[in-house]
Parts: sequence; C-alpha cells; structure tokens
Amino acid sequence: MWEAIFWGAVLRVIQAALQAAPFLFTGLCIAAILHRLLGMEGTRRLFGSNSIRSLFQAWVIGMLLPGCSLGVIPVVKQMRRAGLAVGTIFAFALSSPLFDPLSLLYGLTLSKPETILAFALCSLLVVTVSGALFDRWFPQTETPGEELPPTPPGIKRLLAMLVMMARETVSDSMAYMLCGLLGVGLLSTLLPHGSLMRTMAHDNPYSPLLMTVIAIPAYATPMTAMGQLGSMFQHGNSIGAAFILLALGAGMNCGLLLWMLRHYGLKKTCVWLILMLIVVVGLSYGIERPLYPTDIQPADHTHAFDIYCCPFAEVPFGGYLAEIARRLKLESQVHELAGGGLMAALILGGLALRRLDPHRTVEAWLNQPPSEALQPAWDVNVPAPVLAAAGFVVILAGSIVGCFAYYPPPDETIAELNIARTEALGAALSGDKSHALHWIPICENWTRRLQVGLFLRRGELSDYHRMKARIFHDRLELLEHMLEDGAQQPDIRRQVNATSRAFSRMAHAFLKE
Amino acid sequence: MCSWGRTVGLLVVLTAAGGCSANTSPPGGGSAGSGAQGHVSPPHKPESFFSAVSQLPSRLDANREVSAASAARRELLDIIRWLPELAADTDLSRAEWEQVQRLTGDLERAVSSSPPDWAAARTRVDELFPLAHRADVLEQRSGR
Repeated sequence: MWEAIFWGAVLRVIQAALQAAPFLFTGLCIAAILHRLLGMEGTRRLFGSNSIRSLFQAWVIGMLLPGCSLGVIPVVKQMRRAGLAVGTIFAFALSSPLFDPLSLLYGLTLSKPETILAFALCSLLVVTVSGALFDRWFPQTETPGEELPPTPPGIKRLLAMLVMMARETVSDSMAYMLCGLLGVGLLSTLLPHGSLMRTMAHDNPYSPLLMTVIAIPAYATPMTAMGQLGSMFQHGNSIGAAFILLALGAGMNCGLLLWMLRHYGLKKTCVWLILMLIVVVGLSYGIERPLYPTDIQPADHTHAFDIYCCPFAEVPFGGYLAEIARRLKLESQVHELAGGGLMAALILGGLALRRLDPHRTVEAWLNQPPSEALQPAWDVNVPAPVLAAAGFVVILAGSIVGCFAYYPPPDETIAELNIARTEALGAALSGDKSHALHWIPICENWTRRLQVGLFLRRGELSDYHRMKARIFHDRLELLEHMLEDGAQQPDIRRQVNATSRAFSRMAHAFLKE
Repeated sequence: MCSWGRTVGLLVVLTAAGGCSANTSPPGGGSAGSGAQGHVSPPHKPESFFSAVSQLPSRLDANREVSAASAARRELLDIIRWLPELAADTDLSRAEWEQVQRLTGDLERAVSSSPPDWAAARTRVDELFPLAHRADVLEQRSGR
C-alpha cells in the first residue's frame, strides 16, 4: 500500500510537470519580455494598477495569453517588481490559466457553449470584485523594484532575455512551481484510487464545497480543466463544481499561494483568499440551476477526476517503475515532450550560469553599448517596447497556429481515430482489457478534437455532427465500463459492433456531410 | 501521518459524496435499467428510432386523459426528446436527421403546451413515420 501511494504520487507529479512544461516555457518568455523589453514603466502602462480598469485590463491580457497557474509565477514576479497592485497581479494570475485559444475552442464546441462563456464572465466578476475590494482595503501594495539599465539593441538584447529565462529556472520561481507540483502529489497521496468517481453530483449540495477542497492543491492546465468540464457536463455533474474546478483547479495552486504568502504576508493572503473563495463559491451555487443542462441523463460516476487520485489500485505487472515508464511513454504528447526538453535546456543553462557566473558578469557584458562604428547603416534600432509588442503578438499567433496543428482537419483526425479505434476495439474483442482501456480515452480525445477541428475550419459545428460524435463517444464509454466491470464476451462483442457502426456513421458525417 | 491524512481525505470525499448516487434518477422518474457503472438506461427508452416512433401514437392516445405531471406524460416527453439521438444512430442522411430534429421540436412544443395540442402532435408523428420506416429499411439493407 505504501509503495502504491509513493509511486502513485511520483507518477502524478511527473505527469503534471510534463503537462505544465510548455506553459512554463511560455510563462518564462512572457516574464523575459516584461523584464528585458517592456521594463517596469512599460509593464505598469500595459496592465495599469489599483483601478477597476486595470483589473479588467489584466483579465483581458490573461485571457489572451496562453498560460497555466504554474507558468504565471515568473510573470507575477515581474508584475510585482514593476510595482503593480495585488488586485491587478491576481486578476492576471487567476484569469491567465483559465482559458487559452486551444481550450476556449474546445469549450465552445461542448454541448452548451454558453456555459463556457458564462464561466468566462463569472471569472471576470471574481477578479474584479475580489480585486477591487482587496485594493480598497489594502491600497498600498505597490512595491516597485529597481529598474535595470536598458540592454542595448541587437542580438545582445535577445541573449539577455535568454539569460534571464535560464536564471529564472533556478530561482525561487522554480521552487514555487515545484511546490505547486507537490500539491498534485499530496492529493494523490490523500485520495485512494478512483475515490472521486461517484462525487460531484448535481443534486448533492456539497459538490461545490468538495471541489473547492480538491481544486486548490490540484493543478490542471487549461486543456485538462476544459476536458474535465466537458466530461462533467456529459455526466450531468454539478455545474457549480465545474466552475470551481476551472476557477481554482486551473487558476490556483499551492505554489502561487506560497508566493503570495511570502511576498504579502499571512493577513493579506488570507483576506484575498477568503474574498475570492466567497465570490467563487457564491457564484458556483448561483449558477448551479440556471446553467444545468436539461437534455442529459445524469450518470452517478465520472472518471474526470481520476487524475487527482492515486493511479494504482493494485501492484502493476512488472512493478511500479516499469508501469510509470510505460504510462509516461504512452501518454506523453509531443508538445509536452518538446516543452520538457526546452525547460531542461533552460535549467541546465541556469545551473551553469549560477555556478560559473554568480556575480552576473554576463548581464554586465550584455548591457554594454556596442561600438557605433560596428553598427551597419541599414541596421535600424527597434525600440524595446515595439519588440515586446511583437513578442506578445508572436506568442498569440503561435497559440492560434497551435490550434490548427492540435485540431487537424477532419480527414486527418478520422485517420488517427481509425488507428486508435482499431487498437481499442481489437483489444476489447481479444480480451486484452488493459490495452483497450488505454486506447479508449485516446479515441475519446480524438473525437473531441474532430469536433473542434471542424468548428475551427467551418466556423460552426452543427447539431447533426455533434450528435454523431456524441453517440460514438457514448458507445466507447459504455464499452469502457463493460470492460472495467468484467462483462461477458458476447456482450462485449455486441458493444464493439455498436461502437464500430457509430464510428462509421460519424466518419461519414464528418467527411461527406 | 500519511495513513491519517489518507483517512481524512477519504472521509472528506465520502462525507461530501454521501447519498449522491442514491438520489440520481433517470429522466421520467422511472427506475433505472441495467447499465455499466451508473450509465443508466431507463426502461422506457426505446431500442431504436423505428421502435420509438412506432409507440408514439398509442402513447399520445394514452396521454389525452392524464395530468401534465403524471409519469406517463414524463415518459412520453422523454421519448420525444430521445428521437434525435435515436435517429442519429441510424443511416439517415443529414437532411433527414435535421427534419427529425425539427419535427421533434414541434412535437415537444405541442405536447408541452397547456392544454396540449394533440391534433398537431399526431400530425407531427405521422410526418415522422416515413423517416422511421426509411431508417428501418436502411438498417435492414445494411444487414445489421
């Protein structure tokens, strides 16, 4: 049992770290832009401070830029350095991880897209109400740091950003990020395998409160949270709990809380947290009935929260380490591995700088102005704020391009789905339960991506396509439960046939109609 | 320490989750049929689109004398709302499915209005029949 708990926590922390890696890298890029290009004055101008308008500005910027609750830590550090008020800093910190273009598209193709829009508006209400009250009660929270000398234009300016990013990965920011990741391990330690499966029912008044307890230490990327929301809508779970999952599960983590505790003290942290919890939990109970979908049959269970529980119910075949390696190999996605690689390179660079250059002579050299004679006449100096704006546009454009790559056109998605379906259904027929249970969630994921891919390219997703995808998804899910329950082979065969037919109909609808 | 924490974690979950599964009832208020791990299939849910449309005339007749809050009325409305889902599980084309969706909306409005417009409801059911027959023919043709 102890082994299962320990190795379960290890697996959950590594999975969360891999999911976070691309967002950590993006967060470091944004922090470097603020630090080296925009400077303190530019950052203050971008976000504003200590006003309702600044809260709204921070919410809009947070919504536009891709990020997660761990990736915002280096960004909020720069915002604090620039002398912004706590309300503004936390308006950005809370809103940035909630949505990004990828997850927003995903959300808008769920059965009730208006629910997602309502969630976005509720999040605006949370950050403006709690931020405005906090800034009113504690008006003097702006503590500007020392403005750095501007780095001369050219390649040195870009190198200075890289150096800043590398140093940040071995600074206190990384310690807070690790604390955030350890929260995931803690949850997995406390929650036995599958223990949240029958929770978060719509008719259980404690669902939002239970979600609050779980969501604060939990860590979810915007896409993970949106996927969980989709599953909650589909299973008829509590809408209030879903909102809390988004607001706190995606928006908050232990590392961010510790950062606030260290920089603003216990009193201010508690006041802000209580204020925010009152608004979030109050809103969650307020939206429970009006936003609850009426056209679904509630199921009394969900697998959406399994990722917060211990992953091991029994000793895996081949041992824990082999199972962890197998799962990581099978489940890790390309963008996670790429993000992990970039973060590893930055950490190595940061460690080398820390060891070889503790007095920051590299930064001093980078800040030296170049000789006038060496600068060619055609080499125009681009002002740093313009470069910063271009940097933000590139990040935003990158996330839009990422949407098209992550949600391919239907023909490509159907081809991928066909492979996954063959694996899942073939394994179900041959009695290879674990193989089938591995591939079924992959099929479900591709089914969602199929719908978003069509929405992205046609600008709409018809009820017809939505229904065809839903039927295939439902068939897959029922097959998954039959396998878990150890159903008889003739029943499995019947369900496999039904699932295959649903796939053919869905493929025909998406490719031909 | 860890086993204490785990007990607390489990207690929190069980306390908050208490009773939720027992309270979950399928639409129509009927008892849940068999289903894997809580994926309940209500006993009045028809097997197919054809079967659903076939039972509508008798259900419409039976509902003329009952109150709007009765189980029979709830079951009838459930079946009407399931029609698009059941039709999507056939080989009907997109245009035909959208016709089913439109007729279902009209039918639901007719039955839900106060007092229900039974004549309009019956007309919509009659319009649904050719589509149900076509779905059945396509099903048989594909040998399923």
